[in-house]
Amino acid sequence: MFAKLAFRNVKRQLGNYLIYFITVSLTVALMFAVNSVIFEEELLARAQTIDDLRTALILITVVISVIVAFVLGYATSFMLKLRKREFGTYLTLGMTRANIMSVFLLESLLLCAVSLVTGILLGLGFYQGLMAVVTNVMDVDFSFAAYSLKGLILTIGLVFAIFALSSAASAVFLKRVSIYNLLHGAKKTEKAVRHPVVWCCLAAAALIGIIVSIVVFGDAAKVLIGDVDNGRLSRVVISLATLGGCVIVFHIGLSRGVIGLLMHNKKLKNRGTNIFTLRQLSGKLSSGSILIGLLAFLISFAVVGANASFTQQIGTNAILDRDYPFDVSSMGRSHTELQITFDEAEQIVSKYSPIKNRVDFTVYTDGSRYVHEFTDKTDSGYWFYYDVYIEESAFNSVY
Amino acid sequence: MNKILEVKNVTKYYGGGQAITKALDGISLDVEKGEFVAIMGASGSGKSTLLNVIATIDNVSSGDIILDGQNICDCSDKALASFRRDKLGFIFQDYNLLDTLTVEENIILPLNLARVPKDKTDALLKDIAVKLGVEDKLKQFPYELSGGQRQRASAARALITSPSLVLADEPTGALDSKNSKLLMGTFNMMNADLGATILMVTHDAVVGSYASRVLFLKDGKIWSELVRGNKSRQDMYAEIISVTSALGGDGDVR
Ligand SMILES: Nc1ncnc2c1ncn2[C@@H]1O[C@H](COP(=O)(O)OP(=O)(O)O)[C@@H](O)[C@H]1O
Ligand SMILES: [Mg+2]
Repeated sequence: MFAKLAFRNVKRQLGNYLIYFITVSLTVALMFAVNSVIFEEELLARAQTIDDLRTALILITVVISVIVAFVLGYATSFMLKLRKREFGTYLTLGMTRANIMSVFLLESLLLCAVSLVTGILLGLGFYQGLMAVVTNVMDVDFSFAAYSLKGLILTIGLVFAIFALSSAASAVFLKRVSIYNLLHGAKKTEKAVRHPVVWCCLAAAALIGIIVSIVVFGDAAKVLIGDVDNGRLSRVVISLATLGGCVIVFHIGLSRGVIGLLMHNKKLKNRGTNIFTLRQLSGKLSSGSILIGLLAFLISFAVVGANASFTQQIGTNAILDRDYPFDVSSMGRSHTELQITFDEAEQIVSKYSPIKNRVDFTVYTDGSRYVHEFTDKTDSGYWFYYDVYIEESAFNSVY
Repeated sequence: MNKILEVKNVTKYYGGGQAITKALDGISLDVEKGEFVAIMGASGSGKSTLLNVIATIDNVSSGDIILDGQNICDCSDKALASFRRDKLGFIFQDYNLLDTLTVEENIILPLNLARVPKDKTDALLKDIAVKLGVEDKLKQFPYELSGGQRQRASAARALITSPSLVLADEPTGALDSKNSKLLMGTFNMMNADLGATILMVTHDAVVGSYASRVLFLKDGKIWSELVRGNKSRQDMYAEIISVTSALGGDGDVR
């Protein structure tokens, strides 16, 4: 009976549950992808030298775990809120609280399991993408990353631990709450819509915010790919964060404002059951808004993560280009090593890269260290103990 | 004398600290089998609170409520659940039908919860659906029905278990006056033909005039009482109006 009731409910309220499902799946997918990268053996072997990357990945799992906990906890309370009246009605019809808890747990378990499976399937794809990014940052060749069982187990374990926690919280709530509150509690909060015009303005402002942040993001992201500029990166991050926030405010503002205005309209209000339908609509809009906002955040997070690492990679390349402008450089310490001839040097270089063209130039010095003192290489043990000069025409032909 | 309900010196406080409200102030009343009692009074006089504590969906601060010889104030959660299932029927202002179930599934839900066998359930459903005039709506969902039809469906759900007491809080609150009168006709039928004992809260004098007895509340106390006896409904209505105007005059205002 209870299993049937739970199943029937999920089936008939698919619309409401879809948001829950998408959000939880995406979060799980992200978490699974990061967890898999952490346990990627080959990568780890190389990452020993890049400690920062490892710390960053662990940090990301922690952040994602917190997000998963928040999403699952919020989604559970969202479903509970949707069902308050229903559960109150069950109680008046003679169900015990234990019965209701089992219906609710069964239902959220069903949803959570389905989201977990979908999330992991999605995560299999996310993981390949993430590996492409990470290997790109580390400058490792990448074709297809192997999946690790540990990452899978960690993900499932974490999700179930968080699920158990949020279920326990709702069980405690269901045990304590009075039937009166279940039946009438939700209605009271929805009734109190004050200043609907202000909410409408907020919704409009948020809509403008959404559009502006999308435009700014698109603009900044376009240039970001080819250009390294920290100002632009922060613009991307800020615009995405604004996008997430605006999505939330837009929904809340719309539900409160428009519904509030409609409810202030006497003619509409007095038409029988309209008010009840409106309240339900308002309730649905405002309770769905935070989940939708979270969804926007999650997508932003993934995009920012990918972008930031690509940018970092581009940045590193740019610094390399500046400091080491040649494909191959060979430097000898003339006072400690044996001198080699130019032909010998050319042979060494050609081992690494074919030589297209040879330019000879003369290096001059007056033996002073005057210019050298102004560089940041002053005391880094450089072997240029004195100032050296080349002719401008020689410089132009080399660079 | 066959008392179904005894309310003895019941007090109910809401809130705590400085914002404390005394919603019921040492109230006592009896309801006998086969009665149709209406509780009237101004908004905030404690009508809903009284119904809710009798319905066991809210608890009393002090006093006793005895239903069918059983004191409900010292029952366990599980005992209260089966008590609500077997002895009480609820009809709410906003119907409280479940949107995800069809009308039929809504009506038989209490029987399903009590694990009544299918053939008996079907027979009971057919009988009550015909009596309440919802037999052609059974396969539809609540949102496809009019307000009056929904309230009749929820009355069918309340009556299908033949409860000792039917509790209704503003059952006509969301209906227009025509449908309110139709529903009250149905309540009279439930009371006379089906033998249902009904305790109903209303603020509407027309609705109250269908009852066999009317209790008036003021500030959480019973202020006065009217018995229909052999009076016509019109006379009853006139008397209710005169009592409510003496009470404070906002009898028909929420
Ligand atoms: N859940 C509650 N919390 C606090 N006060 C309440 C609550 N329910 C009712 N009250 C207060 O108790 C009093 C009686 O309320 P109620 O029984 O709903 O009146 P009625 O149904 O006659 O309009 C009112 O003053 C009301 O404000
Ligand atoms: Mg009331």
